[in-house]
Amino acid sequence: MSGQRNHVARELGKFLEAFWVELPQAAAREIFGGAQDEISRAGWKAYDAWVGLSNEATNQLYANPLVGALTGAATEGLLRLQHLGNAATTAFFANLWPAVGLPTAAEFAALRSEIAELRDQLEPSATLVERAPAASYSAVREEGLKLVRNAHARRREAGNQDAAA
Amino acid sequence: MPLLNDIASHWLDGTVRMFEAVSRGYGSPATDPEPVTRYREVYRAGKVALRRYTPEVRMHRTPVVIVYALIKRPYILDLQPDKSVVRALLNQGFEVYLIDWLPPTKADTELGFEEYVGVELANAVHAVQQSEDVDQVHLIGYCFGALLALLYTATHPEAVRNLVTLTIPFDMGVREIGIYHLVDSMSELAVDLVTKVYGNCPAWMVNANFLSMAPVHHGLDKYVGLYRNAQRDGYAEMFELFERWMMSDVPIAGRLFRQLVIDLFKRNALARGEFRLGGQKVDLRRVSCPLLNVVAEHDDVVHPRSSLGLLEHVGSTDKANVTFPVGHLGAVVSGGAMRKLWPQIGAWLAARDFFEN
Repeated sequence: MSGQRNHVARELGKFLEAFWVELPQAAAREIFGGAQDEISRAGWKAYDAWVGLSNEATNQLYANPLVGALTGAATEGLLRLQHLGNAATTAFFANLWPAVGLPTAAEFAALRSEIAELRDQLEPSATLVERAPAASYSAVREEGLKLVRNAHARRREAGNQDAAA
Repeated sequence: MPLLNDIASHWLDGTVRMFEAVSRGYGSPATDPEPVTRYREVYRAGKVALRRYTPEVRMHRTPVVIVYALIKRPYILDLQPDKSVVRALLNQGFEVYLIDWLPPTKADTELGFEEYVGVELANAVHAVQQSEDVDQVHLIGYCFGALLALLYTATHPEAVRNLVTLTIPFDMGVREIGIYHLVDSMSELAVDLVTKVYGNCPAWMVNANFLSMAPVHHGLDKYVGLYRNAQRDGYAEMFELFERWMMSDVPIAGRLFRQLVIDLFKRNALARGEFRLGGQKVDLRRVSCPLLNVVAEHDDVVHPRSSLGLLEHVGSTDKANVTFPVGHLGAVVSGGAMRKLWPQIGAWLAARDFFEN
């Protein structure tokens, strides 16, 4: 921790020197006929020193035990809430959606990720690539077909149940 | 004022890129850019797609297998013709294989180090052994990939001729990098809740962790850098590619995430010699092959002190640390690394191959 404080002090010193000493000096020199881009160079140096100072200050903030404790507690609290929310949503709506013929969010998400995975496997990533394992294509295709057939079957089943009701 | 206009415009472009990444779910093989170097996919199973790159003139018997990290997409290793680790090795006459880890899905939440090292990586190396008709390979691991390569070598020492670990996060008790304190403050319950709520650790969480490492850089300074270097040849193109890669995070399998955060990071089990794979303690003394441990001097992702201690824990007699004056990514994309570091790594491997043609 004290080492990090030293880093911040060093960066602060660099920034103060660049901003309060070198920048005004460069401005004065340019006004009195110095090189044309002196202010610009001194300005960028001050900016770089500010970035260095900000990075060190951020690191010190992260290393602060209070910030750590607060972040840890907030993360855990948010995750608990989300977990509770997920469980409650599943409990309330799991039986409701199929009754009205709609898929649940979990089913929808699972289907989306499965489709994304299949797309990744099927889509050649580039024209330069030679794709070797032709056998795996047929397996993937079969899997895709099975998914589509299952979706059709589920829809038919839901339709039949609605009709019966 | 052109300065403010340009920086604001770069910042807006960056924000659009970020939203696009969020909407497509960050990285996936389908969103990779065109590969720079031609390859053939020789094996695909489980969570691995194995790419084979063939040199124009092969000069070494033992093939090189690059074990990439599980965090983002691997095209950073073949980003541009003159900034490509793959090409740097091909130009030295090595047959190169690259392990492209396929992102885990909901069905993969129970995958841990046992599966990634003992099944996926072991099968990929076996595929290389069969394809090349060799008993041993050179392993090069980058970042998290170096950790996987090290664990593989410790559990399959007979299959590895030489091991190169590049920016390996070995001693995770080192807390020199600010964000590590925040990750450390996450309770084990919170880690459990991540996997209960999401299954795997989502890509956005991985990305947020990286962005938080340097918020000033990602929020402003990189756009200022683009403005200041806009006239430099190729800078804008490189910036675009690099930003795309920065947003190519993939999820981390749930169980692996728990092992990574709790066992490796919080308990520092590997450096303490307490890490277990499938119930067996990992004995790093079993790593007996020659080992080159490459450390990036200005690394702000894996602190050099985190990598440097590795040599004391392995059983190899032929072992060395090489510290190179670059950052974490500079080790695989900088011009200096392409000119000096990779020829050095190639020469080190060649000197320890079975025989030269």
